[in-house]
Amino acid sequence: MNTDNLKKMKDIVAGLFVGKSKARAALTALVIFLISSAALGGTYAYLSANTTPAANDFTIGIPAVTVKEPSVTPAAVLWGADTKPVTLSIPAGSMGGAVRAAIIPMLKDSAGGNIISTPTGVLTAPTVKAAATDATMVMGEITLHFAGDWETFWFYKDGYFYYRKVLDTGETTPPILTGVTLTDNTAEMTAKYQNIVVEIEVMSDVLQPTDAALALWGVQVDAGKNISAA
Amino acid sequence: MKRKKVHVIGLLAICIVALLAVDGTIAYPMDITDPLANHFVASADGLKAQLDEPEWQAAGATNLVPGSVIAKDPQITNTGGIDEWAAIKVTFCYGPDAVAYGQPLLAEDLAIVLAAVTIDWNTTDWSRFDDSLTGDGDTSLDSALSQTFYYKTPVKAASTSPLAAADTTIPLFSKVTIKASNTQAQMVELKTMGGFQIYVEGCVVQYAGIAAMDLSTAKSVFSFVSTPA
Repeated sequence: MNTDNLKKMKDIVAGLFVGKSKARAALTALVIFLISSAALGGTYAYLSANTTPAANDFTIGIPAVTVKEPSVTPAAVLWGADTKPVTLSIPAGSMGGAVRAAIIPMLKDSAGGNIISTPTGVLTAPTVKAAATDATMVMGEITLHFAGDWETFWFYKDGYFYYRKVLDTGETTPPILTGVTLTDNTAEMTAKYQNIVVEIEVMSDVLQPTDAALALWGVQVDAGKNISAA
Repeated sequence: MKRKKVHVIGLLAICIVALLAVDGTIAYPMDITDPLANHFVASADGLKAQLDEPEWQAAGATNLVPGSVIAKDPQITNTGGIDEWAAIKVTFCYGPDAVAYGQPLLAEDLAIVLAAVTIDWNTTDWSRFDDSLTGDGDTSLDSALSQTFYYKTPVKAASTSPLAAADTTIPLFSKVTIKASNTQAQMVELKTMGGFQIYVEGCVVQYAGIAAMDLSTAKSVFSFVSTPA
């Protein structure tokens, strides 16, 4: 019973003591009605039931890619067309995606590790020269070597090698770079590079495999997870 | 004067009798008739309801990235034998990679989730209401940890109801979107907190006796019993 009803009832009961007999009779009936209805109103309850709840989890994926050089000691790589295999991998626990790599050779002095210069030449798609079994990219005095079928797995665009498939968690690409040699393998050049360290900087990126995101790279993905230039 | 006193006492006696009669505890002389047994049965199947999300695919809610759209369509079906009103409560909790998995998000983490996620609430068929009597805060706000909604029209019993209504509600929402504008930092924050969980629970009350549902009625009749705490 709420406060308003209680006050009304008090007023009515007070009226019983001062009114005429007909009025008292009417008020008596009203009191009974109010008391009854107030008592009923305070006890009414609706039937209710609850459903079995549903708890749905949403987990976030953070893409990550690592550069791997199987069987290579980074500080002591031998000159050769197949001595520096470079692959890209998606580590466990990370999300995969579209991956790309840029390969930047730098020349440093062997004593202080300072950059002397970068090889001359233009970064461009490797080509397979006549009678060669692998593809090469000539950067002045330095030649970068790639697998002869590198285009089966990669395409070159704007200085980057793009892997043609979405790389999923735990997967590793075939080698993108296979080795480094001197363009002219002469005694003079060998002597020159006795005190020079050739450092190959491999920079890799991974991006979520959606067209909206891949537009940043100017590439696209299809339903089969194939990556191509947009 | 004496007659008036007798009359007043008589009136008070009537009042007391009326009160006691309502409470049903007084015994008084009466004539006993043959018993008439009335059986009041709510329904053969009673008041029942089921919460479903037909479009939900758990595999689609993993490794989410900016722009991910996850189908999730909570709806209530009247599986009982009587017409009913329906309500749904949604609570944001920690995800499976969190230590506090399944527990309600703390305020700072709730802000991160709500800033990074969009839910297409269907406020045409559902109304937000405040069930804060249960201590969850103002659940009528779209920034609240728990948000409650009642369905604006009754949900009829499947077979026998004369109501011109469906026996399943229109979904409260149909998809959860990870905003495409989210930054790497925002995604890392979501990842670091262990992901998140959207906990949905339903409640129904009888249609009979409630001609129309509104904010104050919803607040008084719906009660959610399994809200994470």
